[in-house]
Amino acid sequence: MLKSKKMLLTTLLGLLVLIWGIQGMANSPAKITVYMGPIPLAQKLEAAFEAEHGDVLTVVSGPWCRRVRAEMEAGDIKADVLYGADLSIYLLLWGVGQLLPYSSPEATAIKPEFRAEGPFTLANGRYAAIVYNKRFVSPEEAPKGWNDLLDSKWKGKVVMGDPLLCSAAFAIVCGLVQSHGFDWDYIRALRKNEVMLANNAGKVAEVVASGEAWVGICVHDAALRMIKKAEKQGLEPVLGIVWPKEGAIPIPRPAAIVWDEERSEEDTTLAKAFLDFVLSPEGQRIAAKYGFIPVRADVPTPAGIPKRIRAIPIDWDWISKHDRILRDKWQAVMAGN
Amino acid sequence: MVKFAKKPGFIVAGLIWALLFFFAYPLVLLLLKGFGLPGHLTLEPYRDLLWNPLGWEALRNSLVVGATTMLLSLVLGATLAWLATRSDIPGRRFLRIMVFLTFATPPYIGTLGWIQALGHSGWLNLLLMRAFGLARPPIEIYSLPGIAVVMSLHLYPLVFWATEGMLLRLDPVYEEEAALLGAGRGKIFFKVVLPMILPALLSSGLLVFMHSLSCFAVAAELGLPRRRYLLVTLVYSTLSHYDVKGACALSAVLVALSGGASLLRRSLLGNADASVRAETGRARVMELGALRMPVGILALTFTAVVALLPLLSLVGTSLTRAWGLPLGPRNLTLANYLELLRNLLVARAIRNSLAFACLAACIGTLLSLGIGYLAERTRLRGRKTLELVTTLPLAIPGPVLALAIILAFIHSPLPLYNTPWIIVLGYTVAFTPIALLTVSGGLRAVDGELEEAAWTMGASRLQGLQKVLFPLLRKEILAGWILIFLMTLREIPLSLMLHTRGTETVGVILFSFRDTLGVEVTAALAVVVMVITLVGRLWVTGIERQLWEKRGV
Repeated sequence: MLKSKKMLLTTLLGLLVLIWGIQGMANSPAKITVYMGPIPLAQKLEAAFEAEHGDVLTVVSGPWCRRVRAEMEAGDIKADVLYGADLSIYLLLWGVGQLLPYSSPEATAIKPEFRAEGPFTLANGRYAAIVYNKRFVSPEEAPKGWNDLLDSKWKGKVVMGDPLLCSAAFAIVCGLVQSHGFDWDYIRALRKNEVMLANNAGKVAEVVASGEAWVGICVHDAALRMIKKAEKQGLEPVLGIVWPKEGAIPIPRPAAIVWDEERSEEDTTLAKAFLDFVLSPEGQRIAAKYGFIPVRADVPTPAGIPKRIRAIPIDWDWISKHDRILRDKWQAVMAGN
Repeated sequence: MVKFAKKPGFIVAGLIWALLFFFAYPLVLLLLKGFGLPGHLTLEPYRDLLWNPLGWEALRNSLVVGATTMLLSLVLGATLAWLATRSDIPGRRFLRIMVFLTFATPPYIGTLGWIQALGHSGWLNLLLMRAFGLARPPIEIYSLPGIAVVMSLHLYPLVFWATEGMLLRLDPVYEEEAALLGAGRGKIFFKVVLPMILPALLSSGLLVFMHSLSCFAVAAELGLPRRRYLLVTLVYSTLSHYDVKGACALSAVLVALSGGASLLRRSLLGNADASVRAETGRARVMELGALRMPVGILALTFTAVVALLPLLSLVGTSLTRAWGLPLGPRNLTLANYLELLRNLLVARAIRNSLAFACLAACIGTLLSLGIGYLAERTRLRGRKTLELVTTLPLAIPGPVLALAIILAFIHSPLPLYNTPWIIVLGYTVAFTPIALLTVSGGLRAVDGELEEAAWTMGASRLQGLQKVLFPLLRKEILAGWILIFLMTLREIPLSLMLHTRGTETVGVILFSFRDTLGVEVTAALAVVVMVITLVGRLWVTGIERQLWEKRGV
């Protein structure tokens, strides 16, 4: 009996310590909240920005689009600044008047192809290109353009992100449809070639590298990170990137300030300062280390990326306005209609 | 059945209010969202579902995969549990460790091991192709059977533990009597043992079914390549297209499915007689005779392969320099582990996750004991609804559950969002069902007369619980605690939606590292987490031994 009382006391004490510990996790509130990913990049940017401004940022990473959407539904978006992902979520927020228009003084240095209309800024370039596995495919054999992916020698060996599960992959499919004169025959042909799907457009790199597929449609930065990692360790990279001759599909990473009437003047200034920082040469250089393409002309593109990228212009507005119809059409085409 | 508490007491009332507020309230908000409420009432999301051919296909696929996974897990889990407790095969301790390892491997990254073996360019497929001169890989893992098999190989431990606890507790007197009366082994099993372990079997089967409905990792990794959609993949798809109403409507379908399964379990159990009188500490061991070695080797090989194949490929991956190159001397490194040490966030995330896991496991186990007790031992009105409501969150995919919790706790009366407590709450809501089903399977089978006997001897109700019921249920209680702890430690979708500065968890890191630092570093982190769980498990077993064996219970 005595023993079990002792046990009970220890357990209760342990629980109290635990609760105290968890309560202690809540840090002192920072000034502004930034939703941005991926974590290693976010950590670097935060450190560099706070070196100048002090401990002012709360950074939330992960697939934050879903989170913003949930907060929108609850009527209270907690983020002050958004940075990353793709245009879809920004267009959605713009549509309901939740973005604060701001044109950064840094914007003058932005290359013309990255100037955009709307209350957001394009902060990094990102493209969908073709990747191939060098262990199975030689550089000469590798597909040179989008149409080469339809060759029967890649039957069952092509992989792409599932447009139903990933908004970047959705944009890629819509881009391919647009560039083929708004015709779905290209997608139909991909289906006939038994195209495999992956969770998202970045995971394609992982699948191609593992050899499960030999070629794939992938966002360039995921492949580039894998290649750089191998090179850094003196190994021959498994992946090769091909910039399609018809043009790569641009999926730029925007940044924007969230509209919030209750935010103090001081915090808004800080949010603007962070956006300026993202567009500054330093912020652009940090992002370039993770494979993203600088939007400024005065910051060099990452090694392994051509200076000028031929791109297929895609109409994001059209994509976001016809989301439902395009999704249904994709489903129907993939079901064989 | 005990006559008790027509009027709920103080504790019972508190329990009910807590359940209503923390479990039912978010669920109700979620269901209302599916109808566009608050706002204009609309049936559109449901109409869309009805007209979407993919929706019907996904529904069928989910049911097929769920049912197959459940059946496979039941057969595997029950057979292995019987071998581990009631037969004299060698290496039973080893078998238990393997079963634990199987469940401890996170499916998010464990599935990779199966793809490396059975994928189109997997070594086993290549081996078979070479051996038989085939042109195409003979095993298609990217299919519904593939999903069901991999899921059941991951989930069968749930059945194993539930059955094991039951079999250990079962009074051998019945079996001995049946044997004396001349019943054969088969007859004893089907007529005597099976009916007695049925409650535990059904509960764990339901657990597996509900779990398979909301398990995104396996469904996506193995279903997407060949476009096999399950309901859970469609839920993620609606969220990727920012269609919250659609996601809520789909989740309502999942909730209805699992609720139906739950009710089916209840009616199957009916008034099955509770049959465990007391624990005698001696389980009846069947001598397998000449079959002992072959059966033993088969069981051990099977469990070892199932546990070690994904695990070894995980460890292998964590030691490679670059993903995609074969494992060899040039491609071997510890750098991935060093990378973890270098990143300050990792240590913090592990510490945070451990704290959250401990607390959620304690709260969840206590809750499930309380609810299980109310549902099985009292005549409280609405007790079954209470149990049902607590079970439902298990079938809701993580991001949608997170959405429900955000909707409920972002504003007053209890603005928990962006505090650590919302994560504890999320984990508790998500994983209490697991402990509840484990505990209630046991409660159902332990005869209430035992406690009544204690009361007639002057013990209070609480003493009855403490001295009689808890010791009898200790396997289930412990299993429930460990299950919540394990699931919490590697949970990803809830963590991603609910974390904030200072409350990052292992799941957040697992997810983010895979995209940037690669599978290798992610695998290293998964290995570290598994080592921690394994050490924790051994420690808990040690405590359990000390606690109970000294008392001679």
